[in-house]
Amino acid sequence: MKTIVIGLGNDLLGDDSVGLIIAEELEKRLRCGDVVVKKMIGNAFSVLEECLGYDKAVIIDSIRLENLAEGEVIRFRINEVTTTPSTFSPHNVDLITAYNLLRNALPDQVPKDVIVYAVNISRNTFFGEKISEPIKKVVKKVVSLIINNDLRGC
Amino acid sequence: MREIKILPISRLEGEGEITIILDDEGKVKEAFFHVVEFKGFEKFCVGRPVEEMPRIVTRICGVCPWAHHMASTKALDEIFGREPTETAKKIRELAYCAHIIDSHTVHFYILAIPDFILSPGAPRSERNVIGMFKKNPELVKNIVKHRKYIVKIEEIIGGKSIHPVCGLPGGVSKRLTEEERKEILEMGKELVKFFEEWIEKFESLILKNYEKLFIQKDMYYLETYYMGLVDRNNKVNFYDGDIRVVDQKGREVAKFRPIEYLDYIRERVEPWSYTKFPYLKNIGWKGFVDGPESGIYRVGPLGRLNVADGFATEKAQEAYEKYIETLGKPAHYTMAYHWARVIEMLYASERIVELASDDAITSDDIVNYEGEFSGKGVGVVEAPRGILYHHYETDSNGIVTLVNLVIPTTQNNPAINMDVKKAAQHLITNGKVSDEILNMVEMAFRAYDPCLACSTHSLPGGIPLKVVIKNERGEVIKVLRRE
Repeated sequence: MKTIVIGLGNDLLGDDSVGLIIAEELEKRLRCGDVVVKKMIGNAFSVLEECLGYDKAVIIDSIRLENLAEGEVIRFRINEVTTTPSTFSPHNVDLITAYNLLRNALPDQVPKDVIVYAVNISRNTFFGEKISEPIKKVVKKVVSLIINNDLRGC
Repeated sequence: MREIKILPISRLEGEGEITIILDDEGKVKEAFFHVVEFKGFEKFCVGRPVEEMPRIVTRICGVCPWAHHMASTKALDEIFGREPTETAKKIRELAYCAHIIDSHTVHFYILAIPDFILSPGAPRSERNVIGMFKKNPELVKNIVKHRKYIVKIEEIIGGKSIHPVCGLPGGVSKRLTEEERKEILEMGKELVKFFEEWIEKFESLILKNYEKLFIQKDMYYLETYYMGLVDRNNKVNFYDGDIRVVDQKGREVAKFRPIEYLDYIRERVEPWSYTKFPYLKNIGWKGFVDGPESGIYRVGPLGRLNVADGFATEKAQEAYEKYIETLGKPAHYTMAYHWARVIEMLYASERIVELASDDAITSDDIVNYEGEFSGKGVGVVEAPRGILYHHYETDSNGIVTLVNLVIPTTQNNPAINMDVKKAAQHLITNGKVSDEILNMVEMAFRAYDPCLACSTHSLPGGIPLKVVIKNERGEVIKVLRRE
């Protein structure tokens, strides 16, 4: 199964880069050739365009949710999330809208399975090239989760 | 008096908010467009080796990294005194034309035209690109298909499609192979065909049905100055040239080199906004008014087509002539930004074909290593939404001591505020605010494609929109929530 793993984040914004770091760690541990690992800082549309042609995609990102503890990880399939696409943003497209669009427009090329891992962080508007200790501790855990749940045998 | 706020809650830098203040009779007294601008990059970069700048600044925004990368690289050309080789200039411009199309396609096809294809008053749940797909799937499939060509071209040249790493002082890091040139050429030809069709479609699907919205003076209309980059023949050029300013009658009032920008632009601060308000220095700031006495100017597709004498490619020039014939010159209609954007995509495609047709673009001569270090540089490009200035100064070791970024949305900020107020005043009477009215107020600033350096990868998606209606004592009497 052709699989792409995409770590997302801004490597100049501290904990926001956790998705990139998890992707790096994951790449070191992978042993099978049909998994491609990429790091991106892009907008949602470009992220999903990158996934075209793969059977499965795993997206790793940070998130800020008040009802989750710092460092808590959520995993969901993209088609399980129902948000109403907003026309408000003048300049960007959210991940769900981008997915729904591409799934409709290019059904044969969009991965059948798109899984998102999101690490809850509390600060993502401060400059810094390092992640905080609480978030650093989560990295190994997420790498194991992804390998056990979504990349078995790799 | 009561207050209506249109408040998007975005995740990172670049929160935007519209506040509309109504008087006791329900008429619009004031309207503001606020942006929480993230100016930290200008401080963060001080103390860094200047050669890191083209890679750092791509992190400013996930949507327009190429513009920052290219402006930054051009600033480095000046700092290191290295004139890029002819091959490097061609490769840079080729990639940059692809980026213009990349950004314009996302804005125009995905964010802007659902208002027109489905109507501004269509239910919000349908008035989006998914609703557009349901109405016309082939239209949307074709858009997605052609975007793939653009991403591919950016990836070939930039090393990465989103955050390029190819720019070096005096050149680029990678040459184009003959196979790549041919591949780009074929994709470019497909893009020309696609956008040629869209010139027609714009007229038949959008302009024909919304002529009154496009060509009217009650709203979406400001008589401002305009600023943009032009080549030596005063034609539109995204990558290089001099900066030209025209007045409300289209007369040239200034033409200057990038390094001289501080002689022509001054910035003002308002207490209610985090964003600065640039204006023409020699005209002066007269408040939020248009006309010849006010130094407010506009940039972006509308500005570019107003300052230039046309396009250097055949099909874009033809489309430009039709545009001018319909709207006059300068065109002051804010909705004309959309039309101008389509013409620019056609031009950028034609330019891709021209550049990729040139065998010399595959030369090995991609970097000039000779030059005299100056420690100061101003790099300017036309970002998709307007002229972008990157100004750096360094010490004798090349360590950054000053960074000044003048971004297009900041330059359009005064005009956006005026357009939002004008639309709100025209549309809101007796305090009645419907979803359609709010959308039409939003359309006033959406036309500018404002880049709020918005969250680059929002999860789980959807930007909530909150409308709060307050009475004059500040008590909330109604909340409308879009999620």
